[in-house]
Amino acid sequence: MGKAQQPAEPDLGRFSDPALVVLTCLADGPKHGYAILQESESLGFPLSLGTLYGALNRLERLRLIEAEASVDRRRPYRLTDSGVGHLRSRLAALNRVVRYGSRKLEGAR
Amino acid sequence: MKLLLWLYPGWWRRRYGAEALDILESRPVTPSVFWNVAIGAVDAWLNQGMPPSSAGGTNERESEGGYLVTGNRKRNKRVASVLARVGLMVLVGAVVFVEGYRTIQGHKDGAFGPINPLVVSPFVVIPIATAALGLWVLLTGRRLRDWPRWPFEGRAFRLAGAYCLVGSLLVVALAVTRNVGFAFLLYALLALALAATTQVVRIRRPGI
Repeated sequence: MGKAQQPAEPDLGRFSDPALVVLTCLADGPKHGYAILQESESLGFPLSLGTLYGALNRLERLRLIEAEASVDRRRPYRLTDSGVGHLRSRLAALNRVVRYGSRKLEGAR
Repeated sequence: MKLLLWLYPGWWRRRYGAEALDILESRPVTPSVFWNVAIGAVDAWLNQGMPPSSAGGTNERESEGGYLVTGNRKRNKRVASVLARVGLMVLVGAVVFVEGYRTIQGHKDGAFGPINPLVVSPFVVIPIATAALGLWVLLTGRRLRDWPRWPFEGRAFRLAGAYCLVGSLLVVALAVTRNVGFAFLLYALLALALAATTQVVRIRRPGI
């Protein structure tokens, strides 16, 4: 009997971190590129223009986000259901690393 | 600023250009911005693609016509641009190699060494590169990582690979025997045959 296979997480390669920042910025509702840039700066992980649109393009092709109709020159993006799931699993994984690392640090003192 | 965005592919400018220009114009332009935009353009040409249609999509049809390998003009443009880049790199490499060879052999007067007649001719260098590419495509049916997949692409690419391989080897043979005119003719016929065959593939397999 083979093991039940878990659904594969989308591979975002070296765009994994910018993608996570973009997904996090979109977690509370649709935003356009400029708003994502500003929020990423306030978050402490500033994205540059090329990186932002590279991440948006990958996320859109993986159907983790989708574009809404353009307003003026700006196009808002929103998380899809699979985008919400992906963000949740990434944040949970990061949380595990944070807790594990913190425990080890405290144990070493 | 607008000129900077011309580094990007057409679909990218139509999709993201207006907003990106808005952002660029609202911020101070530093060398790092230039650098990042340029790197982003390379990434857009090589690794990105038109996202699936949604409310924010352009009005362009995703798939249209049938030209080089399959029936998608945008993807064919990518194939063509990559092939052109490979060709250019091979040409530059050949020039560097010839100059290096001459220096090593001491042919400062420009005289040919024993292998220069083979290396110096683009009619030989380009077909060899194309044959290598064709062989790889033929064996694997693959292209660069991250390229979008579509139905029957493996068949179409293997077909193209077979043409490249057989045709290029013939062209090499003709060029080595100095029949450059025939080599040109064969290349033209090869291109026509490839285009015609992929049209047939497209018609037989609608949706490619």
